[in-house]
Amino acid sequence: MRLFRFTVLIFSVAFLTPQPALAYIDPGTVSMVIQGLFAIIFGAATAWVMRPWHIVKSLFRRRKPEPLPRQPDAAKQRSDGDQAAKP
Amino acid sequence: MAELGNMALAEHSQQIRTIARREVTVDPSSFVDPQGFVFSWNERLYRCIRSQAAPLFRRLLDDGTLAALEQDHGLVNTAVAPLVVDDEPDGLVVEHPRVHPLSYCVEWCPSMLRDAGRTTLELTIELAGRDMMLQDAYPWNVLFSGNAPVFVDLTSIVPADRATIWPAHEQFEAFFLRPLALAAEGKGKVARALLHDNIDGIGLEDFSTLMSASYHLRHPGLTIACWVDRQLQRRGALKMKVRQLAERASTNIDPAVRRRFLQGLRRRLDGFTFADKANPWTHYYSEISSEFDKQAKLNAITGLLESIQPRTVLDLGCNTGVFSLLAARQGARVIAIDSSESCIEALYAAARQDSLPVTPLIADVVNPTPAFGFMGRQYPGLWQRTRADTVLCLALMHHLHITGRQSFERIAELLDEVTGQHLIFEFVAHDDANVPLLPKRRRIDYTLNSVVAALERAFKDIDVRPSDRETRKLLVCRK
Repeated sequence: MRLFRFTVLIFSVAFLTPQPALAYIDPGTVSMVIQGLFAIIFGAATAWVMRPWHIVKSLFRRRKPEPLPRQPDAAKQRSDGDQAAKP
Repeated sequence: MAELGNMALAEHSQQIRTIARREVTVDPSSFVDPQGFVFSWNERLYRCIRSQAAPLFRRLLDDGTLAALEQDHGLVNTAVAPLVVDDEPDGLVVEHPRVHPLSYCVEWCPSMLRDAGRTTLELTIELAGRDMMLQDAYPWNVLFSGNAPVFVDLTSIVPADRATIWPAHEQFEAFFLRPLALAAEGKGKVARALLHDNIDGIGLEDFSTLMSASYHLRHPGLTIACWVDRQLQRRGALKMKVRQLAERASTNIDPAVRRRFLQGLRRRLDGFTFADKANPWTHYYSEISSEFDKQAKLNAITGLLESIQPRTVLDLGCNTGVFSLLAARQGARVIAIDSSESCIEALYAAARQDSLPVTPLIADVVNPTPAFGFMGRQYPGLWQRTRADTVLCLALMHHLHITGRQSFERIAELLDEVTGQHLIFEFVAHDDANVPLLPKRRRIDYTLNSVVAALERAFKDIDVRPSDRETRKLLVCRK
């Protein structure tokens, strides 16, 4: 019992009391950890969930009819020819 | 500048003038930028982009990217200038309009800081879609032109980092999100003091210490982040390993992941609300007794401003900006100063709503923002940045003299320093109803004649006119 209370006391002192940050100040490490975790989680979600989902959706998407080939615009052809002829 | 805006690079290259470095005045806040420097020459403002960055910005100018960012995302107007600085022969010189006034985050109300953060973030999100980014997220990169934030650090634009989502994320937290979180908890004054004292913004440890236990319970991520930060601070080798792992995990960032991360930051930014704290000054003008003729004072000030027609106005002790807004409606660009955060918040909201060119700043006239930064010169003091054609000093003199303990000679010296041409000064007699409300820190023995005599040291013409009550007079002073 005494050993249990001692352990709880040490745990409380070690982890619940505020401790000053020592040595070299490098404020960006936590930010890098957050960004790294974000890249892993959402990168994996994009690669393993979103992309496959879009592929599956596309299989069930009704295909639109192929558009008819456009007739060349005669007026535009004449004006392009005129442009090409200019020096 | 308009004549330069449409000049093609090819045309302008034939008319380039070389200027000597010693002829230009480099901006003191510019020496931290490795990509270039801002300088003044012939009273115009330019930026010399060094040779390694010049090709990128030539491309951005040519393809209209900068023009699009200026129109839709608050980037400063940029035009090619026909100049070359002699020690940067392969550099690119561009011209920017001067943004007035110069103001800093330590003087902004929380809504202004949030809007500056929005501008930074919107620009970053837009650049992410073009495989570029802002390499830093300092609030010094944003100035307010009237009430509109303008992102002025052009050379912060760089190609996107492949290994990290946004290298400036920690800066954005330290300079925008943490101060705004403090302000949302009613600790805006603390946030501004920390921003002034810490050149790297508000660190995680300081932020954690200042937030309440209930905030920690509502934001368990903060507690975890602080614990991780503390453990890493003590174990240098572990910290290096963690950074390497984080960089490796982030290699070849998917643009969709980057965009999602940045949009998450925007949601956090947009989520802040700043409660209107009960403040005796916020309702000062609405609670003036009906026995006083408020309209007479308004009419008097309106008439004076109409006759003077100042281009710029400095309103000292502006309160909620009744007279600042009046001056702005008459066409002046106004800088309005008050020490009350809630008054400046109200004035900022009113200026935005009516699109009036008013820049409200939080500052104490008796203890204004000093010059700070490297060598005490990087960011000039408040009075060096806020000189105006006409200065309003209304219902303020008793605060400066009695609570602020300044002699009228010193008050006149300050007003002389910030006034270009005209001063509208409201004399408050010692038997005014509001004077007994002040904590008296000096003997009150002034008279109208003694105050006029002090002002006459700097202003040659002083015209005494009635105000809204018998115990007050408007002194119209001209240099």
